Amino acid sequence: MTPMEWIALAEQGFELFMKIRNSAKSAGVTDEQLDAITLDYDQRIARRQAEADVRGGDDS
Amino acid sequence: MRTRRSLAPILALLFLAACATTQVQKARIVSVDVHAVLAAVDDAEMTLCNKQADNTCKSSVPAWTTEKHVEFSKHLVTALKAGRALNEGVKAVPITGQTKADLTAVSAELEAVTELVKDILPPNSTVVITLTAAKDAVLRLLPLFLEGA
Repeated sequence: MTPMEWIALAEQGFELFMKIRNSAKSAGVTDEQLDAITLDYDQRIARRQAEADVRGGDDS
Repeated sequence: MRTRRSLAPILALLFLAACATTQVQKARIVSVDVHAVLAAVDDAEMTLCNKQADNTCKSSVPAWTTEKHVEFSKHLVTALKAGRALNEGVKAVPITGQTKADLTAVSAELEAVTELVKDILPPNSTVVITLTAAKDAVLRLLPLFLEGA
């Protein structure tokens, strides 16, 4: 994947999230939506914690 | 006249309730915003890293090394944890000072990850612009949280 391809992919992701954001703004945000967000945070925190704990490039 | 006077406290309560509802709805929308931005950044950076079986990044952008990825991940863990706490905080009425602190933490980490990606991405790329806009939006909401604290 080239840098330009990666940027294009990232931009597509942002566009999708902006649509979700606009939908939330017009319809209001329910408790169920907030609960789903918390669950998503839990998964992302676990994954990123594992990434942060890796000692990159260290062969020892 | 008596009717008007007797309605005054009820109207005042309705006004206060409406203000509180507006504040909570705004805060909830910001929480959705913050989550959307953090999730997008999380996914985009994982794609950029292109993780290999030996736990190293093999990025198409040479400057994006495994060390950068690890440093980025540390900031993002803090941001995600603060985002989660913020998301839980906006469920409650009134919004507390702790929620304001969570929002400030998200803002600081957004700034830190923006600095990291700015080195390798063009300054006018959507990723950098959205990160900067998100940080500004978070800062603009802080006075609202101060009123509710």
